[in-house]
Amino acid sequence: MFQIEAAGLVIRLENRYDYVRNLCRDYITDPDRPADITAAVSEEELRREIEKAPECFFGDGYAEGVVMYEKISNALPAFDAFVMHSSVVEVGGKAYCFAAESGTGKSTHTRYWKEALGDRVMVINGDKPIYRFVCQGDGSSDTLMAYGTPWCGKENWQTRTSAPLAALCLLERGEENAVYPVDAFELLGELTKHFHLPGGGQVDMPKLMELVDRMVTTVPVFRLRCRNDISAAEEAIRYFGLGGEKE
Amino acid sequence: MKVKEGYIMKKLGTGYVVVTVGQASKDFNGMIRLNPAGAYLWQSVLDGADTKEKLVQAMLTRYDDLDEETARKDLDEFLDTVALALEE
Repeated sequence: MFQIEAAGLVIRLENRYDYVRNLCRDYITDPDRPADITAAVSEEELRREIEKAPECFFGDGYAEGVVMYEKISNALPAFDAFVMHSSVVEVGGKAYCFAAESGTGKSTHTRYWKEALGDRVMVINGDKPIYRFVCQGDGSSDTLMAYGTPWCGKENWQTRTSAPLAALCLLERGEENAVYPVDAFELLGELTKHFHLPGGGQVDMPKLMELVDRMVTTVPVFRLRCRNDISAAEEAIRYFGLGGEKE
Repeated sequence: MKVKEGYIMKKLGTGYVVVTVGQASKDFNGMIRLNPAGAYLWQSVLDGADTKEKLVQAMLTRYDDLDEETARKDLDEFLDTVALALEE
């Protein structure tokens, strides 16, 4: 057993395999702190996960880690937080997130941001960041923060940091680059597909919809249509006024 | 007609959604999108407009420039959209 701190929450992981502890090494915190969330995986749950996709089997420890993150994801809405399948970067103290179906090019697009901005960009998480609402200062404002977590996809892009989310970009492939604001309600079906809610039906839907409403009323949502080259990142960087020069 | 138990409406951005809680989540684990006019009709059903005639009257009262024919057409569209969330 060990504890991590992610998104300002203390999470107790009752692991059996070393893989998870190693994965979480940047996030480990005092084991005596009171835990907000506890995640444990039974033998039966572990076997079920392995049988689900035997071709993606990277070992029992890996499977344990996957199921643990599913459990954490399902517990987050109670803390005004959720996992959204997306890549999120930080530039100039603000976070920009790219959400898309697997295979659309989230990682590739993130890589182009790194090429275009060099040291000015930091990847908070490349695949499954946690987003959480926090009240700043006097408690009057509602800010959606993006947080690094140990679970971050095959590129291993993650940083133990956080930044307020400045823009939510729904990525799609296209012949020409384009960035424009969209009405999130019109794209709700697409948007909610990105929420990481394993084991269908366990989530508190009204609570989740409340979080989606808070997200789309506090964070602008954009369509980001991308060619598969660096020009797509340059276009977005220009649009958000982040400058395209490497330092 | 009335709203089935476990179906609730929430505001979402520029519109509204109907989602399920409790037992109803087993029958329907998704969401129904409603525009503000649809949300008004949903609320009217909750407030006791339990027939098509009462709902048409509710629409005509609310929207000054709406004619009865359009109101009936819009109402039928709404009832199709939320069919699985209503019962007799």
